[in-house]
This record gives sequence, structure tokens and C-alpha cells, in this order.
Amino acid sequence: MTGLEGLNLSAELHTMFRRIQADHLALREAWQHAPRTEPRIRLLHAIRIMLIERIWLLACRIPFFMPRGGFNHEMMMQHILCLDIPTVLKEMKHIFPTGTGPSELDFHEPRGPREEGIYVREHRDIFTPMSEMFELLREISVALMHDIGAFG
Amino acid sequence: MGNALRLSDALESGAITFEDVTHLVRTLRDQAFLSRSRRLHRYVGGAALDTAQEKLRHVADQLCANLPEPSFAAYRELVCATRFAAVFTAHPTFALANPVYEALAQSASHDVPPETAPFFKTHRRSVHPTLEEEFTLAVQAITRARDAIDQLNSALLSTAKNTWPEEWSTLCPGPVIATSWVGYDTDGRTDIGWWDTLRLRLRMKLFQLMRLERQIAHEGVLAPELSETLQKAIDCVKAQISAVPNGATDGQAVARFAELMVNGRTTALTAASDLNTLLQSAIEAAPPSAQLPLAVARAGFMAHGLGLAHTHVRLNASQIHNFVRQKLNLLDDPTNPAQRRALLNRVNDALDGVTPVPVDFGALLSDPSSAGRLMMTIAQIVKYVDSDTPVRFLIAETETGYTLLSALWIAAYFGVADRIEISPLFETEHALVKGEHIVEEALRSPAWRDYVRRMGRICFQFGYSDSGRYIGQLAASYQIERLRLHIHDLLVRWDLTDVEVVFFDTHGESIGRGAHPFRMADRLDYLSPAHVRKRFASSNIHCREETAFQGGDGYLLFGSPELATATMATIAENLFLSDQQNSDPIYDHPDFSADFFSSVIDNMKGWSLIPVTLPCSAHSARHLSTAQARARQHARVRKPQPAVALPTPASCGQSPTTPFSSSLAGAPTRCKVLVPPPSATQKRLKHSIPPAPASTARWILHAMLWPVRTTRCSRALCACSTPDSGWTGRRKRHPPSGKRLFWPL
Repeated sequence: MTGLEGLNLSAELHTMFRRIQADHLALREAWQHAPRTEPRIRLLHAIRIMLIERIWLLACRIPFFMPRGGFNHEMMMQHILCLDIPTVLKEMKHIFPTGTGPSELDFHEPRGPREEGIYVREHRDIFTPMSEMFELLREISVALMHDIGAFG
Repeated sequence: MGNALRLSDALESGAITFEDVTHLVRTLRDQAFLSRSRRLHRYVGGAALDTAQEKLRHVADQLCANLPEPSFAAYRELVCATRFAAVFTAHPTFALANPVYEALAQSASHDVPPETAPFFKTHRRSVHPTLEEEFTLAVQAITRARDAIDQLNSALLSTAKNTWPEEWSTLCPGPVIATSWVGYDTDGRTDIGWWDTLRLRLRMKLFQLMRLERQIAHEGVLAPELSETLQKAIDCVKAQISAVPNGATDGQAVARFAELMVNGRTTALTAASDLNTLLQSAIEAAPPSAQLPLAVARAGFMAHGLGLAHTHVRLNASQIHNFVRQKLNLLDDPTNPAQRRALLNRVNDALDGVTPVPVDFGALLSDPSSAGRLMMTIAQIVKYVDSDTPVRFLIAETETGYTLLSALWIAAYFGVADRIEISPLFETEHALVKGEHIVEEALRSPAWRDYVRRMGRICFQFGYSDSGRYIGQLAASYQIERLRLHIHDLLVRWDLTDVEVVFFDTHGESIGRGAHPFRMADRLDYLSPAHVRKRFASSNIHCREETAFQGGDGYLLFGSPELATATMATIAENLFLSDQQNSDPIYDHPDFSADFFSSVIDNMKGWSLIPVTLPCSAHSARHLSTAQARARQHARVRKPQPAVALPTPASCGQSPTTPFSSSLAGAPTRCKVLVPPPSATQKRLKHSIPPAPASTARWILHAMLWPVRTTRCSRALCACSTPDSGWTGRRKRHPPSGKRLFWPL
């Protein structure tokens, strides 16, 4: 069992959902006109869910790699599903290095190919967008924090 | 979810780009920013400087007009006692970048809210704040708070000057003070060493001395002796700060620092009262226009001692236990009720025979225990930084009176028992529900009672934010009120009505952590309801309220001069002009309140509500157990273990009083009775709810039920109670029509 099922969160998620729903119903019973979630907050949540889905889709495009220091592909997916993106990107930087830039020095032999950009495509198409999406995800948290006053 | 899928499809098809989404998020974020700044503006009652100053003048005039007897002595008694402390705390909750906090405060300070938000690529802080950054932000907020306190003192002095022109110049008001634990709170933090605490405490001293020097220079008053004393003290403290070691590894550096501290003790001043005579002479010699500002400067200086703010240190109860276990060879577990009495007796005996040991920086350098280091740090602060102002010693997770007696023994061991205010922090379920037993365990000790009488003060801290984790925010607020009333009864019983009681309410800045969401005035009312205040007033017990302003978001209430003055005006109104409300549904219907909040606690702990038909008298606590037993029989579940109750003291000769003892008689009605689920179900429930999601769910529960507690259950209790029960709510404080009453999820 891998992926989301491997995290075994489904039962707990449903328990939490039912708990919230029960509380919500109790509140509505006591207070019929309790305010409802405003459209802009629903929109922010929708964007957040969309971004999480995009991040997970991008994760599916990360090529298989040999385990490095105990960090393997399965572990990476678990981290991504838990949205621990900074940890994954830090590991990816080492596993798919972008090189240190082509050297122009004279090495006293005929010049060979400078393959410093061998993983440029992975960084351009996967890791950089994933990082940007995660930053935007966090920015949404700040926006929600401003809006609902959930801080501290 | 449908919207999310449509957005995803649009992004996939290229109908929108990632840049479009980014722009949309920033737009929504900025709208939320403006909304928050408007909310902040309203929260403090409008951040107009003139209005706030007018409110302060009104408070002073009303105070003078409503004196019990129209005399200067009566006015002095009213305004010179400390009644409120704003405590600046610094948990790692600085979510926003500093420029965003500043922009938020500026936007909230405008009379007319701005239409557009300043552009920031991100509102997030790039890295976690360092201790130095936390301290800097706290000092900025405290400085603005001090300026606002000065304005309150100015109004009080101005009224006194107009009313008693001959006597006013001796008045030194200080009803409100600022306090800080930034750099001193070591509960759960390992990044603060004793050298950090000393360095930051010395810097607070420096800021205080420089503030006084600046205020005197600003008035252009010629007071050569005072100026020279101040200047020498400032130079000496600067040298001391520069010599503070950066760690405990360099013994030579610590020795050099010790030399400067010991030799510079007199020059650096050790008590604010050292300058009292010089300040009084300066006021009397000053031209009339400068007398009032100088008196204001003196008032702020005297009220805060040799620090920009008072000092709170904090430690965990287990650290206290560990130290005493080693020193007194007390190996029993204080959390085990079977061993507690023996432990209490032994620590009491130890308190009788404790001999103070000398403390020097060498001892501080070598002590490996947290409690020993902190207590020795306090000893050094008392000796060389400020001898007059007591240091509050907060003990987190206090669950037994043994902890308080142990802390007293450590203080006596290091010779600072008369300089620290030991304060339990009630935050766990046990502490909140059985808190009075903790207080009573300590009060049974003659040594503790002597200590309280010597200090003239007994201090308590209530943790709103963390107590939410244990029994929920709603029930915690009720339990805290209940505990306060029990403390009142205990003080009366032990004949301690002549001591001052300090209630420090620690909370975060959101509703889930105990801060009222609508108005500052409501926040203060919520923390300290009129009923409890009146109970203490009826016994002539003086109370001091303290409340937290948590690092980052809480500092916004002092984020600009306008906001700080408006906040101070609200505090002053709450202290001196609070409404004379006679009815409070919580206490008008005490049995129902007790049942309601007990239900909330039990619901938070995974119990279930089973509707059964019972007589109405089952609402009373006395009959509830019978009702529960009947319901349990009905549900065929196992009876839970009864809670262990401590006996009453033999010496007092009377049973404990409870404010919730009356019962209601009436026709049978239908109500809900708590029934514990079978143990297997309980276990399954516990295991099925993971910590993080459960806390999220509970936060949401708090959020949903907040209006209930806000209006003192007026709505929800009406709905839960009989329809014609006539509950009207204690004080309806709904936001203006059309405004948000509840934060949407």
C-alpha cells in the first residue's frame, strides 16, 4: 500500500470530519443565522486545494533515483503527500545537482563536454514550479490568517 | 472542491497561467490585509489620538468626581496602587515580516482606512526570529506602551493639579505598568542562557535610565546632580552590558563581568528610590510649565523601577522538582497523591530550617540545574540591577502545592525569598478543576502564609491558550472564573484579605487561544468579569489584573502611538469606569452554568450526550450524579472512577463554600445527561483521533462556540434550556449591523 493509502489517514480524517460536522449541526440548531464562509475565503481554499493537487501531480514526474542517505523515492512521496516540500527540495538539489557552472580554465588537454546542465529540465519543469507553488500555498495561509484572525 | 477542480482544469488547459493565480492570491491577501487593519482600528475603539486622550482625561475627571471622600489622600490611594499590567510575551508567533507588521499598524492608525494595501511580494517572515529580534520588537512595543502610560499618568496628574494645587506635585501615580518576559521565559526554550537573561535585563535598565534622562533633558530643567547621577549610571550600565559573557565556557570573561557588576553596583544604581529625593527637588525647582512633564517622568520611572518594564521569569514545575529532589533528597513523586502529603511535610520542615547560601557569578557558572541557574540569576539581578522591584517567578504546569513550597525553598536557599513573587500557572485540566486544592496545599504551610504576608501579594497565572488543549477554551474560561472565586474563599478563610491578589491571564491573540475577537473592551471584560471583581471588592481584597500581549500579533495593539494610546484608554476605562452590571446569567443560573460547562469539558474529552428524561432538579450538581447513575444503568456502561477529593483543613472548622450550590425545583423536563461511553469505545476514540487534526477540530469547535461564550451563553443556553427561561445575556456586544459576527472557516 503506497501513496495516500500508505499514510493511513482516511479513518482519522473521516472521524475529524464527522466531529466537525456534528459540532456544525449543533451550532446551526442553536443559531440558525450563524454567518457562513465568505466567497473570497472559499476561493482561497479552492486555490489551495488546486495547488496541492498540482504539487502532487508534479511529484509523479520526478524520475526514479537511487536511495541517498536513506532517502528513497517512496519516502520522498510520503514527504510530498504530507506537504513537507522544503525537505524534499533540499534532497532533490543533491540528488539532481545542477552543477557549478562550466569552467573556462585551460586543463592542458582537448576540451571535453561540459554537462553541467544535465538535470536542468527537472529543475525547470518540476522542482522550481513545485517550490513556487508551495510558497504560494503558504502565502494563502497568511491571507487566511489576515482574514479570519487565526494567529498566535 | 468543484472550484478547485475547475481552477486546475483551467490551469492545465492554459486558460489561466500560474502568474494569474499568483496575482489573484496577492489581491485576495491584500484585501484581507486591509480588512485586518480596519478590524484592528475598530478593536481598540478607533485609533484617533485626540479621542483617546479625551477618554483618558474623562477617566481622570470621573475618578476625581466619584471619590469615596473628596480628599487628596483618597485620590492618591486610588491612582498610586498598581491595578493592571500589560505583559509582553514572546512565544515564537511572529508570523509576518516586520515591515508587514509596521504597515499593518500604520494602516490601522489612519482615521480613514486606506483603500489600497502596500505592496509586498510576500507577507511571510523569511526566517524564524532570533532572541535579539524578539527583544527589539518587544522593546519597541513596550516603549510605545510606556508613552501611552505616561499619557494616562499625565491626565491623572493634571486633574490632581487642578484640584489640589498645593499637594499634587508629590503624587506618583502608577495604575498601569508594563511587564516583559522576553529573554527571561525559559520554559520550553533552550536558546536562552543566564548570560542572555542578564544582558537583556541590563539593557532594559539602560533603556529606563536613558528614558528618564531624555525626559528631563526635553524639559530643559537644570538639575545638575540628578543629571550627573543618571549619566554616570548610564555609562556604568553600558560598560556592564559590553562585558556580559557570550556563554559559560570562558571563566575569565565571567570574572571580568562580575568585577564590573560588583564594583559598579552603587554607580549603576540599585533602586529607583535612590533618585526619589533628587526628582522631587527637580520638580519643585522646575518652571511651572515643566513641572507636570517631570512629574509624569517620575511616575513612570518609579512605577517600573530600574527597567523599562517589570520582569517575569518562567520555569516548568518539573525543573523545580528536580532541583529540590537533589538538594533535599526527596525521591518521591509529587504527582502521586499517595506520596504528596509526606512530601509536603518534608518540604515544610526544610522551609523551617533553610539557611541561605551566598551566590556569586562563579556559582552561577557551575550550576547545571535550570532552577538553580534561574534562581541565582534572579539573586544577581536583585543584588546588582534592581533591588526594589520584585521579580515574578512563574511556574508552568503547576499541579500541586508542593511545587510552590519547593520554589519557596529554592528562593530561600538562594536568599531571594523576599524579592520574588512565586506564581503557579494553572493550565492543565487537573490544575483548572482542582486548582483550589493546589492553593490550599500551599496555604496550609505556615511558611507559605508568612511569605505571602511579607510580600503583601499572592500571584496566580492562568493559561488560556494552553488550557484550550486540555478542556477547551470555553470551559477553561469558566473554570478560571470558578477558580478565582475559590481563591477568594480561601483567602477569606485563611485571613489573608489584606494581601494584594494578582491574576495574570496569559493568552494568545486569536480566539482559539483565548483572545476576544471583537473589541479590546470585550477582551478585558471577558478575562475579568464584573461578578468576580465584585466578590473580591466585597471582601476588600485588592486585585491586580495582568494580561498578555503576545509577540508579533499582540504587539500590534501597541504598534503605533495612536494604537497604543487607544489601547491604554480602553484599559483605563475598564479599570476605573467599568459598568455596574448587576446581572450575569452565569451566576444568575449557577447550576445550569455548571452543567453546561461540565458538558463542554466532558464533550472535549470524548464523552457522549445521551438525551434522557429527568426531573428538572437534575440540573443541580447535587442531583446530577444520581441522574448520571440512572443513565449509566440505562446504557449499561461501567462507572468511572470518582475523583480524589482532599479533606478540608482541620484548623478552619468550616466546609468549603461553593458559588454553585443552589438548586432549581420544577416540573420534570427533558435534558441531556452526560454518559461515559464504554471503555473500549473511549480507547478507540482516543486512538482514532490524531493529535494534530484533533486540535484543529477543537479550534474549529472553539471558533464555532465563541459567540456563545462571548455573550455569556445567552443564545446557546437559551436554545439548550427551556425556551421561556428568560436568558437575556450579560452584556450584548454584537458588532454593528452588517459586520462579521463570526470568523468564517
